[in-house]
Amino acid sequence: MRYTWALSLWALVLECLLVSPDASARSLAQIKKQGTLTWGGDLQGGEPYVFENPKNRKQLIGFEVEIADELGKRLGVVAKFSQHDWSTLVPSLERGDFDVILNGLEDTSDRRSRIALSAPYFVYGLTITIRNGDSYRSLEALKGHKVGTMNQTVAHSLLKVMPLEAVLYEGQQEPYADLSSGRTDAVLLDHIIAQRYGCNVKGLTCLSDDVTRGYYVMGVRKSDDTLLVALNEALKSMQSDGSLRAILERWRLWDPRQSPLSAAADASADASTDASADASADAPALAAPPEVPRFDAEQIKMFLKGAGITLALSVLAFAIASPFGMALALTRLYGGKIEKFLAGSYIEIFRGTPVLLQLYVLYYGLAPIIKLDAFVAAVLGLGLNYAAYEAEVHRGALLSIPSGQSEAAAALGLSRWQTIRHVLMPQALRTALPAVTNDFVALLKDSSLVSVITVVELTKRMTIAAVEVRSWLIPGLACAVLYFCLSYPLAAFARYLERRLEHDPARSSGKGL
Amino acid sequence: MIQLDQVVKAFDGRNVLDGISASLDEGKIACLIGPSGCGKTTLLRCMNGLEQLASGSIRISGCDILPNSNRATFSRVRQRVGFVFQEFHLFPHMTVLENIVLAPVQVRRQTRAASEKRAQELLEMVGLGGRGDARPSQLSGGQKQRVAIARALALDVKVLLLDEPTSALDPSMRQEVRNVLRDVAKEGLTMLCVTHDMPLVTTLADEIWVFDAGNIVERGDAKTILNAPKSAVARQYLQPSLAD
Repeated sequence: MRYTWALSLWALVLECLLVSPDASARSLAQIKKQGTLTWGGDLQGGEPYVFENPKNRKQLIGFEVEIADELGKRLGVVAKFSQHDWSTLVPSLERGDFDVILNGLEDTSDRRSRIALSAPYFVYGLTITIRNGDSYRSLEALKGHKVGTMNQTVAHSLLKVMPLEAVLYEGQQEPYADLSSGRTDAVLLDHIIAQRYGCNVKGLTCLSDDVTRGYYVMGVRKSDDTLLVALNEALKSMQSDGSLRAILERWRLWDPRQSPLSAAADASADASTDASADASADAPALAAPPEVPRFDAEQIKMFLKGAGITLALSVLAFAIASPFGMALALTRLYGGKIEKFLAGSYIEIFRGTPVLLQLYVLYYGLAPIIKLDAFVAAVLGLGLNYAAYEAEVHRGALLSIPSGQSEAAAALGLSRWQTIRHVLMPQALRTALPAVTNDFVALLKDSSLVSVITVVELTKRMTIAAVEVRSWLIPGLACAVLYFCLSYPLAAFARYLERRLEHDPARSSGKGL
Repeated sequence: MIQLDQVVKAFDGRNVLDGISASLDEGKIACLIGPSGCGKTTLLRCMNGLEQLASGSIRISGCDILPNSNRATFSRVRQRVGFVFQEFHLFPHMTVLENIVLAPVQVRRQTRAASEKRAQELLEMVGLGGRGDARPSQLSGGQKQRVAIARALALDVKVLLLDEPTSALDPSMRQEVRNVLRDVAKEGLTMLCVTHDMPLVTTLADEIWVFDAGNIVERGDAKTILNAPKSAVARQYLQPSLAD
């Protein structure tokens, strides 16, 4: 179903790159022995799936949290949440980052061919939302029109094969905003999303008939067949003793769609009375979500934490990039033939491929060989990538030093390394300072890419908050202000350094050469 | 002290040095004169390994420079032979004192304190005592060249090679550099100085080597050549400038 913040293109590349199920997968016995069942999801999906309790940020709530806890209880273990970008849940599962996906994963044949899927725990209906007064009543009627949906969803695969123009979004709210403003003619998404983000928007109407229905299921590695059996049994017992229904009701998700999940077939009477009591399928407005949380001090605290992670990440990555870049530049300029070639190849390869791809390969691709911690992988990935850029900055700076400088050093008997160390490098660093500052500021912002390998930094924090409070304006502004607060003092400091260096040495000798 | 034997150096197939042979005794000062582009500077650069020989040999301060000489040889040569550039080439990111102590500390592994003490003496000698903490950018051209001379002497070299030490200076600053070089000459160094600056020649030279097109066309006692140049090049070159 849902939101994917990473570019789906890269998710696709991933699918091709990483079809190596992790051999170190934990068996059911190991899970029981350790006493924890780790489940993967994305907080950005927000209410009602899994999200931070606005009243207590440290606590996660949502209907999937309750299902996970209940499943854990029945397996005799504690359920533990693991944060991952939604688009990377499947590769992360295969990588062995957690035991089970429990996060609005739809049952599709594509998924079935790759991972093992459990029995359903929720029934979703694809809902068409239109502007009041428009006469479309079915998907067929929308032929030739623009229909908004989210990337990587069942709705999207449905629209793809229709003679209409599918408009793809990464978030839940934007499709409805564009529908309101007339950029699109309809939106097709899960009813959970439609009810929370579309049906209650002024000027929009949700059609009562579902286009189609499907299941949310859990996903486990194909090799974990004992775990799958245990999960299915636990889910079945939750269904028959009514605890699954109780959870869904608590989150106002129970509606006639869920009747396949009611306490087996014998509860058909219940289901019908329920349908009349809670006719939310036909009147979505009744299932309106609880009060939308506000952007409060707690949120700001989380933003500051995100900013701290962004800063730490950038500083550490640059601490790798700058010296390594200098080493590459020196090698490319003064190394032997082979060294020159190697340094040159490194620079061209790392500059010539997207940093996003490098992060994916480092985190997911190398997982069978070395399982890097997400933060470490993020620092390494950004550091290695930026080293290539720094190398060229430093190479340019080294080349700009008049040749008389190295001749003078040589004439004094300095070795090549002493010349580099005492004469060339200090001067190159000064020349490179503006470009280096520039790159650091760029890195600070590029660091938002690491959310694809599960690090929650400032931008990811902003998108989580934006979904939660149903607005991009305040979280976006807060995010922008924080980025600015991080980068501006740095730029100012660099300018101060430049002025200081300008003031005394200048280029005294390089008149001629 | 310096012995040149059939020194050949070619650029792009053209012989810039066309088999030069000459010698200079210890403590003597030779000035190399002749039209620009005739190979004087190239010869000087060959003598401390800034250029590689094509053939022939150079014996300088007990070291032999051959066409296949490597860095190890040049490293030995450079510790005994100082070089002063036309454009000074001071290190702009260091103070005057740091410029001078760099080689003693890094190359000779002398202590910083000893190196600085010697550097102060050298600065006194070139008339810049007390300017050790200045940056090159704060100095005039003449002062820069005097620092460069002190820097070249800091390794207590036996031979000093000077490549047009006064050409980049305006006339008012030339005299201060000439005076410093006159003082340095008193220390008994062997010096080879490429120059177009005739007052400098008259101040310094024991010998004059006259160059033309990659060869020495006239070589001998300074006074003799200044008074009665034999070669056409020397006459053409010296006579008008004597009026200088």
